[in-house]
Amino acid sequence: MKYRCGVCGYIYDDAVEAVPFDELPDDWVCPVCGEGKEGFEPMDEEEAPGPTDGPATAPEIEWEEDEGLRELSAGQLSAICSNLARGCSKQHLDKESALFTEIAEYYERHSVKAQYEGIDGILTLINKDLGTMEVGKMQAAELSDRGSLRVLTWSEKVTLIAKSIVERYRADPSFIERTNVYVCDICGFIYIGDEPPEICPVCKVPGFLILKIGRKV
Amino acid sequence: MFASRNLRLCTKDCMCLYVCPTGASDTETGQIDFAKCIACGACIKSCPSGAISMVPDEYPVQQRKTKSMCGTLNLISANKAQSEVIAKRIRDGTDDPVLEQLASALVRSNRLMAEDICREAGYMLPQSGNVRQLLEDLLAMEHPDDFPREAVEKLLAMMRFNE
Ligand code: SF4
Ligand code: SF4
Ligand SMILES: [Fe+2]
Repeated sequence: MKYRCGVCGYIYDDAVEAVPFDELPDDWVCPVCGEGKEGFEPMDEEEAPGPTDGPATAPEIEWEEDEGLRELSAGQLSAICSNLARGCSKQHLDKESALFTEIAEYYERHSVKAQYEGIDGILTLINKDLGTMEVGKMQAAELSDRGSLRVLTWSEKVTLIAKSIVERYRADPSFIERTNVYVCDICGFIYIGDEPPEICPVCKVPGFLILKIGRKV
Repeated sequence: MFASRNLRLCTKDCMCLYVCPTGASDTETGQIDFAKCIACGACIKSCPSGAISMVPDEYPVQQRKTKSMCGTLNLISANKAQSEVIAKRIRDGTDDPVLEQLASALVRSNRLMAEDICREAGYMLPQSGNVRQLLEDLLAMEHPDDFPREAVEKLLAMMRFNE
């Protein structure tokens, strides 16, 4: 039997775990998002193995690429530069940080209109990414590239949780109305709830780094 | 090299003030006076809160990434950057405060993921050869008038690249 976490989509599979789901203690929580046992739903045996499309439908990936500098989109250049700005400020290189921010902002202004639109567009990209992440994790493991494995593991969890939140919102927008929205400022984990978790369930930073997203009144 | 205090961990008013031979650790801003610091490390050893660390001037060459791994990471970061753009359009185009809030969360979340994935795909350290190459490539390209060419030139001149 398999059980799926209603918050983040994590799947507990009796077939691969040491302890069957029914015998888990009452205070057991989802290893990804911290949801309690009661938030898990049994899955139909028929159902596909998970919320991801899985490796079977993973996009074709070029494993060897020969061209020199790969084309980066304006959005990627913006992300590279905003991250370098942060790296500089960690090193107390404040002037350099401001300069990288300037370039990041330029590319943010120039990032092109997306190919997809709306919440559905985001879901389309999420599903593509989940497939690529699956392949990427195998690739990283094969190469013993722990850094890439780390970022793929985190971002896969963050993406799965975002997917489950967006789908829930589409089904019933009111579930956010009565509560708060938070984003982990390190990994991007989105949390819908009254108080943020004490530590981020994805990247494990302390809760003060999980920031509240305000609502306009 | 100089010592730097993490203000989130510092419990204030203790050992580092006693052990610092230059008075660098006692300032009105709460941060160490980097110019006075001689990097002796005494404050780091004495701090009961583990709040001080040494910031180096030079960094080692970064771990090499394979092209194939970077290719995969780039596919994902491109989509995260696109998702950020889509979420921004939702955020800026709605009057519904809850949708605006969810879209803002998606903007932030996707930016953070794109940053982190790009970082692992070869752009970790600001002083790395990859970053220098990127800045040089940007400078060699044609851009619209509002491109901050000067910022790129200044960075190429200022950063202490390690390769
Ligand atoms: S490293 Fe030495 S000089 Fe610098 S702040 Fe610490 S104790 Fe003072
Ligand atoms: S010894 Fe550590 S905790 Fe105490 S004032 Fe210095 S930095 Fe802060
Ligand atoms: Fe996190």
